[in-house]
Amino acid sequence: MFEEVENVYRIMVSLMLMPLMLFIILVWFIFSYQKRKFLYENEKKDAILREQSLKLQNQEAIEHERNRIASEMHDELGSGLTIIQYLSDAIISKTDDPVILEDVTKIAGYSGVLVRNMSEIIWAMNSRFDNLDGLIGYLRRYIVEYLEDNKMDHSFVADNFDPKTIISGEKRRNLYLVVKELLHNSIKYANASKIIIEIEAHSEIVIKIIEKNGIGFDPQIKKGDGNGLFNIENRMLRIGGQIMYSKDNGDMAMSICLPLNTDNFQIKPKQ
Amino acid sequence: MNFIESILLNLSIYDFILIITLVVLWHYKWKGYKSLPFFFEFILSITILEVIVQVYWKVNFKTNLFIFTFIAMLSIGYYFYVYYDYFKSKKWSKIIRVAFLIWVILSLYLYNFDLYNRTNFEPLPYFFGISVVAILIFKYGYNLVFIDEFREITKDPVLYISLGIILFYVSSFTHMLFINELLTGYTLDQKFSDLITYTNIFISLGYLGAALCSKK
Repeated sequence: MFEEVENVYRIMVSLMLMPLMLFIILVWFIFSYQKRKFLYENEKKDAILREQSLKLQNQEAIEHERNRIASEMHDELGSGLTIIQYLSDAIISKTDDPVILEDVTKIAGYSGVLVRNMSEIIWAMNSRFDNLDGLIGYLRRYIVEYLEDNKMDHSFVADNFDPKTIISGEKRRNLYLVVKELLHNSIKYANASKIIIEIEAHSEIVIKIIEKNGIGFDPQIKKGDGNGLFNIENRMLRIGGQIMYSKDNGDMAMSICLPLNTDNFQIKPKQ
Repeated sequence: MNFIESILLNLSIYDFILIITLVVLWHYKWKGYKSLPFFFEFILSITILEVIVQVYWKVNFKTNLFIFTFIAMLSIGYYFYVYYDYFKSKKWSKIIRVAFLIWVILSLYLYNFDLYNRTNFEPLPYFFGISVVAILIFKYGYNLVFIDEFREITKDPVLYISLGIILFYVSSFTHMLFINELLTGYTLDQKFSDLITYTNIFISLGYLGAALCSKK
């Protein structure tokens, strides 16, 4: 009887001992695993932060370089071209020789075009203008000057946008060239009484050019005629945007759309 | 009572879990998913042996000891293979190969090459095998926490099968160790007999967990 009780006791102790040991081991395992998981997640977060910081550093370096090139182009090439233009103008005012006059006039014209093109490149390269304020301000100046030079009645409306929204130099330059080409076509072919430009920007920037009471055009036919519209569409596709055309009675509208959110991860350019 | 009725009457909870595991594995196999190596074949064999053959044996030969021992040996052999497949290092592959060989020789020696006509359960081969597997499970856990690159273990089939085996091992250890003593006291014997039936649920749940972790 005593032996039987001892046996049962021995069995019960063994029964309790192993689950207890396993329980301790499992608790240790779960604790160690959670600790490892915590360390791993922290390491992962650190790695992401390091990667982001590296990206920012690279981006800053690129922007610094862009600004340096833009500044040197402005200072060295720009001043040189302006001097050429002034000297050409001075020769034009002094000479009576028609051959020299014709050549120097050409030089003055080319240098004027070069100064303008270079200022466009400098504007596109300078990260200080990598925002909607920079883009819309530049567009406003160009559009108003161009339409006034061509004696076209116009209105420019751009109130609904956040000036600090980031937009890259490449996109700014392409948008500017597209607007330039469209306005050039409007002046040349549309025979409109007025040109209205409306700009809105929320998740995407929409630049709408409306030719009032013009002859309008069929974009499908126009695309086959020359490279103008084809190039415009290609430019927009390259930067992830699109262009749409619509005609309502005598009004022809061209809308340029470009999503903005893709550039928002960029760092704010140093002012 | 016909054979089908006998099978249905003898089905316990862990048998049901085994059948569910088999269905899950068949479903995943059909979808092209993969789990542990030869897992479907192993579960299919175990289910047939547990659900059908064991009952047939019990009905016709009055004891299921042969099938019980055969299932235990088959399972341990498969566990060896699972961890052999899992540990890629040469050192541990060699250790597992040597341990497996010792286990086979020990089993053949103790069963005296005659498993079929035995009238009592020989716990030593079983203990040796399952103890080596338990060591491999602890090594697996140690690697997971300290050696291997960190990974989420919630979808690791080896984790579930390891948990099933270790819980079964711990809860059935005493029963197996004192099996011959327990055979004398019929009250305790009944309680422990019920206990082992319940401990099998752990291992069946481990199989089910591993089956549910099948992936493309």
